[in-house]
Amino acid sequence: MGRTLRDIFRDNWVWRTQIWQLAKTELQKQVRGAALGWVWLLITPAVYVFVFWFAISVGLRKGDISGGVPFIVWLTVGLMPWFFMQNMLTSGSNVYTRYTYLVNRLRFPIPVISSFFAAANFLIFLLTQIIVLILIVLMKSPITIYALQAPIIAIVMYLFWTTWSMATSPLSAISRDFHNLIKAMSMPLFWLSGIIFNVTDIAIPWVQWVLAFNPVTFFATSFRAALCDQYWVWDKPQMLWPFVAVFTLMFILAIRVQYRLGPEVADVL
Amino acid sequence: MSSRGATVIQTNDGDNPIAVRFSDVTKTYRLYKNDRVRLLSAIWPKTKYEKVHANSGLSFTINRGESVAFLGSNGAGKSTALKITTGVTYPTSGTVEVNGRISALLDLSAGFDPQLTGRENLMLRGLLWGLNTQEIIDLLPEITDFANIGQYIDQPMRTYSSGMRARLGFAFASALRPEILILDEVLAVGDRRFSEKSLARMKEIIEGDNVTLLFVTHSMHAAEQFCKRAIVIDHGKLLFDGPIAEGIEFYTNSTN
Repeated sequence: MGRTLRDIFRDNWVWRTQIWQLAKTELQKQVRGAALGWVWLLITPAVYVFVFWFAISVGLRKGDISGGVPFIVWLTVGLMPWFFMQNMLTSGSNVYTRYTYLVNRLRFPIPVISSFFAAANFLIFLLTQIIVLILIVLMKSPITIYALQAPIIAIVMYLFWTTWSMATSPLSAISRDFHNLIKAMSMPLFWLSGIIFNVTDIAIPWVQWVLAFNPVTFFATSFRAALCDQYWVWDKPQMLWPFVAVFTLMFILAIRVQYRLGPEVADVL
Repeated sequence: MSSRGATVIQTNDGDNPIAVRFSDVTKTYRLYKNDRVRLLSAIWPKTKYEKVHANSGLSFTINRGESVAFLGSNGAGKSTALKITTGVTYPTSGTVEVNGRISALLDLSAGFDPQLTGRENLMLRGLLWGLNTQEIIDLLPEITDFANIGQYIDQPMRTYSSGMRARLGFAFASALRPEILILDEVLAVGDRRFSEKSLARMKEIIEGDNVTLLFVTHSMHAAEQFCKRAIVIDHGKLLFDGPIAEGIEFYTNSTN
């Protein structure tokens, strides 16, 4: 397994130019065929933000949970990472079926497929952050020293979901049931996260504690810590440590799955 | 990379006198009764499955510059051996040594992305092979001329006919000047004119450089034309390894 770990790091380094190129190609494929192309990558999240803002702020009249910053900013900061995570949860957990030709027609290290697929979606995430910045400026929401955390949280988010993709894609390739299970879990992971409510506001402590193990909660809460709530992520260790535990487990799982099932993937596709 | 009992040594050393060496290579596929049982196997390692030996104790050495035809009936294990050599599938046990840069055409889809245009696919494949953008751009005219697909080069590859795909695949694989060229029955499609053109190109490659050719074909004529050596495989086992004429005779007799 140590060898698998070393191989994954080495392959990602050796193939770095190709990762970049393949990520660009994946993006091209996503925008191709539509006259508006790139704009669609922004329209879908924008519609989501509007619908949630309308339902929560206008419909339920619960737009006062954002603690100081304008509710629309609070919502957008937490919701934008979700589109990246949702893509990684569903498509990212099944990248080998998407790139069959790289698995069984060419000699290509399969963990690297996760890297460039995540990179392509990460670029879209960065694009959506432009909306966030515009909103922050328009709504005169304060930007403080805590905003410096945002790029680091973004990188950790990329690394975590790349690891996730390496751990789950071989299982999805071997069993369609597994991939269906993950797709079914995508909805609960959204609603049982801190995206549309503040986890730390929940009155029952053990519920807070359980939700902290949802990585979606960690990223939504952390981006808000940086851009809305103004604190360092380590100031709330009850949110940080469960995520560290989940990341560690995911990392071990990824290495183990790549070691045990990696060589079999080409045979089952 | 090693897969439990097996060892795969892959180098880019194109001067090594040995191009490909198989030592006691076995490839076992697991057949499960259905998908439910397959899922169970991921959780419960003792799940029952049937074993199929696609390659069974295969040993041979191919020296630099040799051209070898792999003969055998459908399902004999020829393609599996070529896939193991290319590195897209791993042997279950045994040792595989491959020295030199490989260009492989393993099937008619030729490893192209159906969503991308011919040109984009060639750029991508070139990068994956290790060329830089300029080197690929320099190669493009040669490839498109040879494949003769005209303006289709800028159309998505899903619109291509199987013949066009194969032509582009062969044109690309042969234009790369690999040290080891692997061709799996790709010349069976395409029209007669293209077949002749490809055969001429292959002849040129073999005679010119120090290229090692591994060639699966059902055309004894093509095998005889290019290869001095034949390896006959049946049910995953090596039955014959020797001069081409004797190999063809052996294979023809064994199938009759």
